[in-house]
This record gives sequence, C-alpha cells and structure tokens, in this order.
Amino acid sequence: MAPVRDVIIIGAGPAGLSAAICASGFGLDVLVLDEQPTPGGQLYRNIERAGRDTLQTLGPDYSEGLNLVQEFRARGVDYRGGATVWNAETDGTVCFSEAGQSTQIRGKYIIIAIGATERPVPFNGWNLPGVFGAGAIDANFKSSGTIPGSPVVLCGSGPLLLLVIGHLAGLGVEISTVLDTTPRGNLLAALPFLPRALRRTDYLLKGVRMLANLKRSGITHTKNVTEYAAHGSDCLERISYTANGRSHEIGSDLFLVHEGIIPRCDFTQLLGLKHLWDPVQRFWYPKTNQFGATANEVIYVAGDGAYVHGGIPATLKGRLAALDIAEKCQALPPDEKAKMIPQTEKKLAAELAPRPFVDAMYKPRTNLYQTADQTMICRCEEVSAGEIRQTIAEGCREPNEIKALTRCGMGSCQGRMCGSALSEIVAEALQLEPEVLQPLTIRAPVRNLSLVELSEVALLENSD
Amino acid sequence: MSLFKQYSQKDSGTVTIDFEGTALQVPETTTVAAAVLSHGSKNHTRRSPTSGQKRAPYCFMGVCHECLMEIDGNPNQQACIIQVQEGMKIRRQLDLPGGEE
Repeated sequence: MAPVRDVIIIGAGPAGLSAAICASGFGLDVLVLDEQPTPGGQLYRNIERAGRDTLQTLGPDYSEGLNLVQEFRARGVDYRGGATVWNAETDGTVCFSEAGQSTQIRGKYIIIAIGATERPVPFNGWNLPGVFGAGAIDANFKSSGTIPGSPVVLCGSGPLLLLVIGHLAGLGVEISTVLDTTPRGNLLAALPFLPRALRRTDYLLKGVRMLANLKRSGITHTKNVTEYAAHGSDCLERISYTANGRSHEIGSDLFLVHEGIIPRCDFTQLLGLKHLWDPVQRFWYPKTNQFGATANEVIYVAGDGAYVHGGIPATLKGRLAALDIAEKCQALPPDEKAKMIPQTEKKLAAELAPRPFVDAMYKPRTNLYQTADQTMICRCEEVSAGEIRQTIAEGCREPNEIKALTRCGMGSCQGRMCGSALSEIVAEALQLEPEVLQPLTIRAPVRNLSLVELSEVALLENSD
Repeated sequence: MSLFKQYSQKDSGTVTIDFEGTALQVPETTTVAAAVLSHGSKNHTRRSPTSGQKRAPYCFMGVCHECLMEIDGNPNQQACIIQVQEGMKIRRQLDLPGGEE
C-alpha cells in the first residue's frame, strides 16, 4: 500500500498555504504538492525571491502574500515544490511527478487548491507568437522579472485587466491602447448589487482608483469593443478590432488579452464530481458545501478552484476546509470548531460582499465565443470553429463526440484551452445553455508524462 | 528585438545556460521560457507538432502547454514554470511534422 498522510493539499497558492498552516496547527500530518518551484500560487508567485522594486510596484495585493508564505515555511510542513500531480482518485490516492520520477501516495483527505486560470477565448490569430494572456504577462513578470520589450495593446474585460494595466504602467511598459470589451449595459445590470457592495467601500475604491489612474495616464481607452483579431505571417504584426460598430487596425508586436477568470476543474472533473454552471460568469465550478467538502467525503476543494472569489477569500476557504478535516481527524473538538467556524465565515462573507456587483459588472459579452469559422479553437490539434460546426451540422450533439471525431481537446493541453469554447460553440449551434452539455472527459495522467515514468509507477504498485 | 526584457537585475545573481549552442548569462531566478523570450529576435519557442506553425507560450502558468521545450535532453518540458539552472541545455522543438529528425 502507498503511505497514508492525514491531508494531501494540491496547490501552494493562498488556499493551499492557508489550509496547510491551519491543518498542521492541529497536529495533522500534511503534505503540500505544487508544480511551481516556490510557494505562492499565481497570486503570490515567486514572492520569496521578489526584490523590493517588485514588491513596491505590485503593491500590497502581492506583498501581503509574503506573511502567508513565511508563516507556512515556519510551520515546517512537508512541502514539495516542482511536484506535478497527475492523478487523483476517489479513495484519496494521489500520483505526482518530481524530477522525472513518479510517486503514489494516499491521503485520508485531499484538498484540491489548484486555483483559477484566465478564461481561454479563441479568436483569429490567437495562436501567433506575440499574443499572450494579460494575466500571463503578470505571472511571467513575477517568476522571471521580465517585462514586454516593446509597446503593448491590452484588450478584454475584468478586474484583473485593470490590475495588470496598473502593474505594467508602474513597470514603465508603454501601453499603446486599451481595448475594453466590457458590454455597455453591464453597469445597469450590476446596480442592484451595489448597496451590498458598498459594505466594502475599500474594495470598490480600489477599482475606482484603478480606473481613475487609467484615465489620468492618458492611455487611449477604447470602450465598446465587440470583436478583435490578431494578424501576421509568423508572428503578430497587426491587430484589428471593432468598436462602436466601426472597424480599426493597429500595428503591434504584443497583444495581451484577458476575458475573465475561471476555476481550474481538471482534478474535480477527473474525479467525476458534480459541477455547477454559473450563468453570469459562464464557468463550471465543483459543487461543495460551506467547508469546501464535495459529495465524496475524502475530497475537498478550496480557493478559486471552488469558485472565483480572489486571494483573501481563498485563504479563508482553505482555513474552513482545514477546520472541517481537523474535526473529522479528531484533532479539533466539535465544540471548539463550532466556535471557530463562525469567525472565519463572517470574515469570508465580508470579503464576498462586493463580488455579485463585480461579477455582474464584468459579465462576459454575449458574443464571446461567436468566433469566425476559420478561427482555431483547439491550438494543439489545430481544429477550427468551422470543423466543429460541420460535425454539429452532421448530427453531433455532445462535446465528447466532437472530440473523438475532430481531435479537438486531444492535444498536449488536454482540452484546457479549448474545452469551454467547444461547449459554448455546441450550445450556441443547438440553442442550449452549456450547462446541459457534458464537459470534455478528463482522464489521468492529467499532465504530460513519459511512458517510462508511467510504467515505473505501475511496477511499484504491482510489487506491493 | 526580443519580445521581453529584464526589468531589473540588481535583485539576483546570474547563471549561464546553453541555448542551442549559445551561452547565455541570465538571472538565476528567471524561468526557461522567459530567458529564451528575452534573448535575441527569436519570438517563438517551438513549432506546433500538428502543422509546424511557430508558437510561443500563451498562459505562462502551466495550462496551455505552448511553452514545451527540450531541457537537458528531455523533450516536452514546461519551460514557463521551470527555473533556469547553471549549465542547463535548452533547445526549441522545431521539427516539422513528418520531417526527418
């Protein structure tokens, strides 16, 4: 049998670190696995090695992660950086790869804390070198200290886009223009949620300040952008876009796009757990209870991977999961837990007060996935929207059928970049909501693995 | 011109890596993908194994797998989350589909 730990936490971001700190505080045997070389997740990526310049430019939203990481380190939790988890099973079995060797281990409980990702939205030319996620550029700066070497065009919608604009401006990157795809009617639709959001004026003011800074900076801010595309032979040369019904074209070497954030569901889908559809933000998220527990009593989900709420809420969700598990492991008496839970839940509720307003304010545009037929949806296997629509016209109704016929979602990213788009294209063609469709099936290994490595894990199992 | 440049080097020491036969001195805290993208005029880090199209990392966080490169002889390594190390040998995967190795 593989060795058993009390809790295996997948992901060392805000949720995973907070869960590890809390669980280890009750004496639980905790193992944290994370594919990045240092703890922090995407939000606090590489924070231990960030210089003063970086901390200052990225501001308190980043620098406050240092305390969390330091507290985590001080606990002496068994932490494996550079460890890529590639399988999780319903009995708590986890397989991970570290320095080219795979290990199988089992947890009495697993906390999946793998966070969120920028929503991949295919458009013409998004496969050209020079086109990047906007949040991606932020993440890349944190882990490498490199910034765009020439002027950038930013495009899309969402709070993270505003944050990235602020970071890049602070780093001295020249921003040629910001193409804003936030639909015109969103503010009106968001107004009913404003009173609740006003409980957190600090949060709202941060947004207002980001918008004011953008206005004051003199950067061209083009609103009501409804379509955009990237052009070039071998790399990005030009960007075309439609704003207020008129077409424009600009030259650029760098195009940074952001259309919101969605939970990473690869492991919860691999485990066959129930997922719910959010019709406002248009993403799937795993069904969990107030502690992040799923219908499988071994598996918990914490942080943005359970629902996109942001960094501070992620730490609180991590703590709730750890408290529940500590009680189940009899490391925390029920009456003490009953005292601790309301404190954390109260803090979480206060943090979440502005979310409905922000989510409605940045509701994705309705034509997000109404891509042209020639647009490449699956970047790995190079399957176009037209090929997908053709199979639908021939009678296919399920994303997994289309995957089998076209190879859309079968490449090395395993459908992470095209899965949402595929479902939305099918839903649009059949005039359904994506929630009635079965998302792409995820199978282990959920990360690339050499056959040699895979075969050696299998041998280890057989020799037990 | 390269797509990326170093913001500030004063925070870290450097290591020397071998990029397709050229020795590059890069900050020790950088990633393989960032080191390659901030060097020279090469703005693609691989060719698509499906069509041979030039590609570069898109997500920089281990999701899109566009950053796959050959590191120390091992193919398909996620260059955007792997840190550089002294003496590391890095190659882009530039084979065209169906072509000779």
